[in-house]
Amino acid sequence: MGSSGAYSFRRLTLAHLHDNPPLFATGRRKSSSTAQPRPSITSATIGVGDPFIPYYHYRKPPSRPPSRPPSKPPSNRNSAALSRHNTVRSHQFAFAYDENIGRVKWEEYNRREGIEDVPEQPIVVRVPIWRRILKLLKILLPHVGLNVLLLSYIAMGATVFIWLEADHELEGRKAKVKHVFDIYSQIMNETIALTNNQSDQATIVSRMRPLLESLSRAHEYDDKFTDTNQLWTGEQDGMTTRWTFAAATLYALTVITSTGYDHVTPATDPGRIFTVFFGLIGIPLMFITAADIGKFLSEIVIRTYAKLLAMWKMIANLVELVRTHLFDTDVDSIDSMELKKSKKRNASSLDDEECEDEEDRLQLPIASYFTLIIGYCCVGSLLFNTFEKGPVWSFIHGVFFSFNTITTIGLGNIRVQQHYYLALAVSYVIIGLAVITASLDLCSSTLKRTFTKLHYFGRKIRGARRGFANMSDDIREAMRIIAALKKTRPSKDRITLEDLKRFLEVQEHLLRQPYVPYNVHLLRWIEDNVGPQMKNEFSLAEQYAQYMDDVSGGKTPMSPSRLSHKMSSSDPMLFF
Amino acid sequence: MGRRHRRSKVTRVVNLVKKIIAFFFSHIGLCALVVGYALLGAVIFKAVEGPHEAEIQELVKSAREKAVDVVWNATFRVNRLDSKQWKKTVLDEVKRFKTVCMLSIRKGYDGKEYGKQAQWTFTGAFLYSLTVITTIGYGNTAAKTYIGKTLTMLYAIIGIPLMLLFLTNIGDVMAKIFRFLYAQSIRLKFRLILWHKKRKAAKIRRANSLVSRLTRGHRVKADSSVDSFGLGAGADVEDLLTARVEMEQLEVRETAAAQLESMTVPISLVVFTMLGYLGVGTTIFKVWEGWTFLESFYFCFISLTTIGFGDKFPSTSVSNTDEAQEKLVITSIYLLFGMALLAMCFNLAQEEVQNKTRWIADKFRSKEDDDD
Repeated sequence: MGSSGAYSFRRLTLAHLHDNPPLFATGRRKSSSTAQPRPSITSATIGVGDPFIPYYHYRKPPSRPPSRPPSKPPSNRNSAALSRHNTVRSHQFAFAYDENIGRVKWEEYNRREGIEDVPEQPIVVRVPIWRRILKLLKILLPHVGLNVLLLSYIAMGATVFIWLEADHELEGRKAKVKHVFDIYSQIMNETIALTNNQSDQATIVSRMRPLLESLSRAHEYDDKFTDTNQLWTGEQDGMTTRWTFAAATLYALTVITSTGYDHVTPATDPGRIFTVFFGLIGIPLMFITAADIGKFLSEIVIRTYAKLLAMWKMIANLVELVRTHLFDTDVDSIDSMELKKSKKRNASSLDDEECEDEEDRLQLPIASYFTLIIGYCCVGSLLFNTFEKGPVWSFIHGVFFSFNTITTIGLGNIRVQQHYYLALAVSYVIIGLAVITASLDLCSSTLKRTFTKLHYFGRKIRGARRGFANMSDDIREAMRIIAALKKTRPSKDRITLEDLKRFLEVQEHLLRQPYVPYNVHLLRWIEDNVGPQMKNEFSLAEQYAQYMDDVSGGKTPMSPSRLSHKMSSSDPMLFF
Repeated sequence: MGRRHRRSKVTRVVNLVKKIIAFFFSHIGLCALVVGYALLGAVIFKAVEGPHEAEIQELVKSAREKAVDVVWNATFRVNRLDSKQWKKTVLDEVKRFKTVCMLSIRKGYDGKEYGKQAQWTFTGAFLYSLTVITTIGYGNTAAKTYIGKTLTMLYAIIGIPLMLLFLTNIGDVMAKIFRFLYAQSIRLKFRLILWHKKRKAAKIRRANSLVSRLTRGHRVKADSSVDSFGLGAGADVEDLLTARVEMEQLEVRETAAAQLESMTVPISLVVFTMLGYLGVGTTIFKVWEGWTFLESFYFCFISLTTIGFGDKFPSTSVSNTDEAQEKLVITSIYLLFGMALLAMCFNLAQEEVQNKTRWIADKFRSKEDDDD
């Protein structure tokens, strides 16, 4: 509560500081506008006095009853006196001062909190299971939501790609079929013409060979990865588009994982533009999801390794128990020397096992990650060989393709026909990317450490430290005040505790009694105006006595008798 | 003396080795290491895959000539020109040729003439090595033989971590430079604010001096303890006002220091930098290859994000002329530097997103506390 009190006090101080400058700027303008010294004094004093009045009103809330204010000031003054008498360090002094202010101001807040504490307990007692379920859902929701978001993003991209590219691709292939038919008709026309004209062999060769060469070139790159029923025929009716939902989904996946198969490629401008924006949003989303799954897998691996260690220790304990039992049986035997030797050997073997465990802990993660990657590639190889069944596919080719896929190199192509195969491929790619991300992250950190050591191989690494990071807020506040006072009075050699006390006292005094400078300046001005006119020492002494009475009494308005006395004794200039 | 001389020699040798290792893993050494590794890969892949490519091209060429001859014989020998028989013969031969083409395509044929254009030149192999270790992976050039595939996997296992190390190192350096420039701009901004505050402080000091001069004149006229008390109060008021202005300046300086320490570059600036670099690449490839603006931008984006379809590819790079060699070198530099720049952009954007996420989480937490 002390900290919150101090914080609120600083906020009030800051608010007051922010309110101050514009009002003073207004006063400054008024003083600069007039040339006479006396009105400038008056306007300056008014300008100085004005900003304190609103804070004074803010300080006293109207809800308080009038009987409380007389009781508050004595306690404040006593606490201030106690803090003044203490000879403590500057930061402790500031802390004590702020703490006192906080305590005085926020007593009601403490009471309110005390009241509010009571009804919370029944709520906790009533529904612990419900809250546990809520917490569990809150923990699971981001991860599941992230995966669902990724899959829906892929499906949305696939739909858009089908809409953009399917018709264009089909038209392209139909145009190609028409082109081939045109070549056929040209060949037949030339053949008929040659037969009719009965020309020689040289002419026929020179005219027929170019046509046949163009025909053979037209068949190259034809339907590289299409279905069996989509191979070359003369019919246009049975032709369907290559952009099926499976192909489009795979394309979307390769875009956002940056793998990049080219089994289908956007040929239209809108398709390419959409690919660019799809990748801009999808690639960070994909890598966030992969990192999330990677952390999950890393935790599983670590826990599994910990469980293996625990099992290993349990087995060791069991073996030790069995040996103890055997030794108890052997106690009956006469050979005590052999018994001692066997005990020593057992102890030494246990020590060796502990050393091996430590070495395994240090070395296992990197080796396990590499083994995991190779195993995952082999699993992928089995998967792809099962579904692809082509002349090119062998076990090595499957491993090669899997490695290219999960490292996002993407040097090959697959053809997806079944939805089951599509689901397996998508999940394989995502989990594989997570595995490779986790392992490469580990390798990258290890390599970075090694690189740093090698880079600074002949030198020492120097770390920078922040001097002000560890300081508390109170010390910062004190240093701020000290710096401000040093700038205000550069002639002083050093600022002592008394200066800080005086600064704080003056600040408190001004905050509590903002009307004093106004009154004091006005009174001095009136006296100054009356003073030189009086030549009698007795009347001067009487005037000073009246001034003393006014100040000591603390009353702002004068009594009518004194006012009449002053007016009767003053010069005719004042009347005018 | 002999022993001291030996020790000095040994120490000298050890220091020399240390210096060599430090240089080799510094920034320049790391760049040289990456380039050297790519060149090594180029030599290996050319030696392994070149003969295979020549063999495949020869096979397709002979198959095409055979098909053309068969069709010509059918045309020449059928005297009465039976349309049905001619069509049957030609279709059978075309199907047979297509089968040979398909098998050759799967073995690596790409439609280019033997001897004139080849994929596995030194430059083509170099670009293949670069695409493998950067995981871009254009599909137009790929290893087809058993030995080629095995070597590609081994090459990638060693090369990809090396590439990640290179990108991490260069990305960190570029991020530091970027942050330095941004910090300079922030310091300039806060310097202007401080100048404004100092001018305000000077005005207040001038006003205070004027007031003190007037009160001093009053003090000369009448001396008494009461006047000194009032004057003391006035002096404290003036000092307090001045001190408050100084405190405002200190607060501004602390705010500037806090922002410089946190140092989060805004996302719009990061995106603008990335698009600027893509724009430069778009201009270069548009001038070289004769592509449209969209095609060039598409190629740059696909390359720098390591998607790498390979449908658009600088085709003149895969030949042996000097101009093509120069273009290849510039393309490689563009890709390497661009990937480092992209790593820097993602790094800075990640920091900004993390900060905003934390801010939102704190806001929700405070709302929940208020509700409780």
